[in-house]
Amino acid sequence: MSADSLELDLERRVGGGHTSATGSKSRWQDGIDVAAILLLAPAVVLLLALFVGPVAFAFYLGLTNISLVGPTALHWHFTGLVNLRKLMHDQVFWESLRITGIFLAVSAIFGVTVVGMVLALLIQHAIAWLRVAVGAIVVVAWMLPPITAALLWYAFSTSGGTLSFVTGTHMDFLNAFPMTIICLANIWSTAGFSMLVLAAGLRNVPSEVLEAGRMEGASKWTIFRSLTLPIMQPTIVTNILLVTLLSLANFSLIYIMTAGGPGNATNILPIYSYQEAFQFNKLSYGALLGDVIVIIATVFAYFYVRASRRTVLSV
Amino acid sequence: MTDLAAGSFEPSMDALMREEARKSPEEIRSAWIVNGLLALIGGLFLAPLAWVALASVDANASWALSWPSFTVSHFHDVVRGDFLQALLNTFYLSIIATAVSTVAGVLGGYALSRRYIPLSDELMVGILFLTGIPVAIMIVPIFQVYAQYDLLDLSATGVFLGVTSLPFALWLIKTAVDGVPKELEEAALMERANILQIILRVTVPVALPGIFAATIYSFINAWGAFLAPLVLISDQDEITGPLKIYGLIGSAAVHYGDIAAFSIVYSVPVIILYVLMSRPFSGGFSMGGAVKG
Amino acid sequence: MKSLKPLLCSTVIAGLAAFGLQAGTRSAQAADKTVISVAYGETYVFDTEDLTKKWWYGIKSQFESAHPDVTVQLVPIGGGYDDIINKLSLLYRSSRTAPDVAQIATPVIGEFASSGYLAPLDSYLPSTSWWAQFPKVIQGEGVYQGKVYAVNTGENDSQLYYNMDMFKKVRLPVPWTPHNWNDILVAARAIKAKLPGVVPIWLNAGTSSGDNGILQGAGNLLAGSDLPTIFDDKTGKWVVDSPGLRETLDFFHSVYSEHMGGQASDLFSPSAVTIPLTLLQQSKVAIVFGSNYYGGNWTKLICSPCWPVAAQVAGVVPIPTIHGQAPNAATTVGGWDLVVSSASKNPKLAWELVDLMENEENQITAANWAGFVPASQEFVKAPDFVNFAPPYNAVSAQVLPVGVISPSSPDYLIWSHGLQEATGAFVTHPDTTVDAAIGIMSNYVTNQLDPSQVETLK
Repeated sequence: MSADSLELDLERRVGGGHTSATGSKSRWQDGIDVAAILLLAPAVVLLLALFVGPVAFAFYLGLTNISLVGPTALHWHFTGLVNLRKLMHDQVFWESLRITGIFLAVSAIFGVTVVGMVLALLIQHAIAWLRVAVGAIVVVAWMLPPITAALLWYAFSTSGGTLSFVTGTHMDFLNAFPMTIICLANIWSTAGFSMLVLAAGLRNVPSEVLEAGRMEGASKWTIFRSLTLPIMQPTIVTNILLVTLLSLANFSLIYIMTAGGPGNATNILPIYSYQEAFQFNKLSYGALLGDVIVIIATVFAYFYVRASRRTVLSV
Repeated sequence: MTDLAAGSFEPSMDALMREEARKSPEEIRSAWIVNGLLALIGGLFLAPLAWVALASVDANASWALSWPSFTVSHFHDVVRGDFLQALLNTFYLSIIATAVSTVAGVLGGYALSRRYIPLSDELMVGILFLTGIPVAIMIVPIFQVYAQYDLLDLSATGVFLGVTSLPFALWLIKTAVDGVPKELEEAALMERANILQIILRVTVPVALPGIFAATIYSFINAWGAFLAPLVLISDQDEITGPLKIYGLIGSAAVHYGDIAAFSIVYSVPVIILYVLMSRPFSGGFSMGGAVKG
Repeated sequence: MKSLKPLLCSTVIAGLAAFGLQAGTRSAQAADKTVISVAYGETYVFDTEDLTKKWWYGIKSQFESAHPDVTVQLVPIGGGYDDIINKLSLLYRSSRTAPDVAQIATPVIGEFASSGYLAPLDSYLPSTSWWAQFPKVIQGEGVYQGKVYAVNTGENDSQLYYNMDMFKKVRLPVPWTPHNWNDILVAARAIKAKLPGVVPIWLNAGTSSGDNGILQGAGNLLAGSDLPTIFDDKTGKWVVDSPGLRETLDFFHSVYSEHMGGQASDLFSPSAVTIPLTLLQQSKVAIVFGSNYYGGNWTKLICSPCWPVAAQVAGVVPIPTIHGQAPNAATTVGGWDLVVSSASKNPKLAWELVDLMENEENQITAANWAGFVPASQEFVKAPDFVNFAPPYNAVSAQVLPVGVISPSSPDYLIWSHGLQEATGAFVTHPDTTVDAAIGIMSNYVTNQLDPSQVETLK
């Protein structure tokens, strides 16, 4: 397979265009595509009404003085930049931002992706029953409801739990190394998803290319690094984006395990936002913190778009 | 068309035979490493599950890992009335959510893939990033709206959960539909099929792996949902599994054994789902036709 | 896709069945009856879910027999303390969902009243038989801007529990009567020196129990200190540094720097407020800053844990003030109250429901089954209460009148969280100084509120 045709082949896969089989693409010059509107309508209406609408409203609420209960519960008004100024000076917020970054970088971007990739690779080459068994365990770990996963990990890492039992100490790992434990718990509960995505991507690597590399005597590691990885780059980038978003949204797991504690050690932004809104009654400030989360997600989405625009080839 | 293969973990027959043919000491050693490493990772993933298995049959259950004094009383406790009701409620909620997200997702995904929509690439990225928005910031406005229209019940919560998984479902389905060969649709058009017929008879069957991935994702999302039911459901007859477990932890006297037993019972349907879904695809559930990078 | 069809069919059938089942369990309300709704905590307030159901269904049937044309709609709220308050906050936002009557926690009465959610009850009070029996302090807990918006339905207060066997072993006096804080430390040191392997003092610290941790721990010390002020009414500011706070944190410093406190994993557990019950029963702790519900929890009825010989092993005594100054007992006081919604369509009926819940029989069963002390000075003398968990209930009743109630403002929880963090620092870093701890609390509260809302008292 020549380099050119491979490149074309990849572009077709990466691009994912929208070629219509039902006649030519009807451009807007030809008139409004009624069918498209009707087909999209359910999704759009639902998303606008129950998703985009509330999020937009939450953005607005972040700039008001609404509280969960109290004089400004029902009679609230726009307060402009007051909350923003508070945000700038809020040490807990900056700390929360920092540990959220650590959490995402270590657990999601690095941890889940690496573990998922390792699993995807190993599974491809392992013997049948092991493949099925471990695949099942990892996917089940992902499918488990967050509350169950939180309970399991709490029991696992608390004093007297499995981890302390196995290491022979009686240490309360959860309170001694809170960030480590929640990073691990997040990896445990998200790796299954990453494995599935990356395994599918692996299957899309043309075996001819790998064969060619093997024929030329390249080592397994070189094949992986110079052939497999570059070909899989779009999948990996997509995986990173999705896993980051999923981890950012993994509120219940961490809330039930540590509720942000001890102190503020695991008070990542989603937890801090909930705490401010529902524990400290400051609904508007909690909404503002939620807005920061949305902005972070947007930034990631932006980098994803930039990264996936690059076509990739090094054969 | 390897990317459309009903994905599985099984390599093709040729690959297997090729592997069998070359068994040098190096190959055997690397097979040991691969399998050993996989088994190790599998064991690590299995470890946290140990507690819930033991505690569920332990009469003196606590957070600690200890050899149980065996009893079936916990399982007996958690298949009674209100626990069973919670399971049924969760089931009902998840069906509604999955239905909403799948139907809207299939129709919308088809449109995004096959029809000219201005800015559809940007739209797709926008839809994708909606996945990262935490439910917590939407929940109070949603509560207000639902309270206004008397919608604080299980069905409306199901619809909401379906909508929260809709972005990802749209993305999965759209990508799957992208991989359906145009020729099939053109053939159907020749036979004067209308759009709905094309979608149902041609597109859906071929894009099924991706659609299934979306369905499963929505189901799991709704089955495990915690915050939305916590806020939106007030009627104790309507509470779902996670709320039940949460109530058990929060009470004055913690019943660890019951919590463990119910956690197992509550997680079983999801596991059954995995087993059922992986059968049509000869042995391995995957995102096969759905993921295209 | 041969395996698809049966799968789809069975899914749809199962879904419909589930729907049918869940819809069917909604009991049909008789359309012509008046409905009074009452909201309460399902799993948190009473000691067990079964007792919760027993008490509330009892109320429902008592009221419905007396008023045949009324249906009482029970609205139980699951989860913990925060969840109950949050759910109530949401329910009250709309008059459609606001419950006619609700059982809410004492510290939040002010917030709910200031939102306009509650109806004033002053006009009903003179004609009751029980209101006059409440101590003034407790009558005051439901007052907001001069009007009464809530009536107490059960209080919690704190006292010291100690293991009499251990005390005898190390030659400490039994019965124990500490006159000041130093007496407590002396006893703890004696235990530490002669009984290794036993936790000398259990004193709640850290953030995992929320404000409950303060109510059962630091709050009692602050109440008995030289300057207990939490919120300065004169200046409208929260106190983040004062002699009282320093004395309190100094006590924590003594306990934890001398390694006389409980294990971090226990203290930081979400169920930290129930752990000492088991530690006492297993003779693993010598002295506990505990709460009045301990006695009831050890009885056969509640059984968490069962401890039939509790009265022979665990003594109980009021917490002293720092120097033994009057009234030489200190405790926080806080519990649950009943309120009527300002949006209620049947306020008179709602009040009658409240009145029913406040009668002697219901108050005493509530006290016994939820671990409360009844507010009424008359009811606390009733044999059914006193003999439910002797001698504990008697002591709980004894200290109630000197109790200190937390300020009823939403920002109180922020102040409390700051103090929780400060106390937690002693556990994670036993060599924390009092200055450092004050700094932690002061920084946190100032950061969350505003420098203009906090002050230091000298």
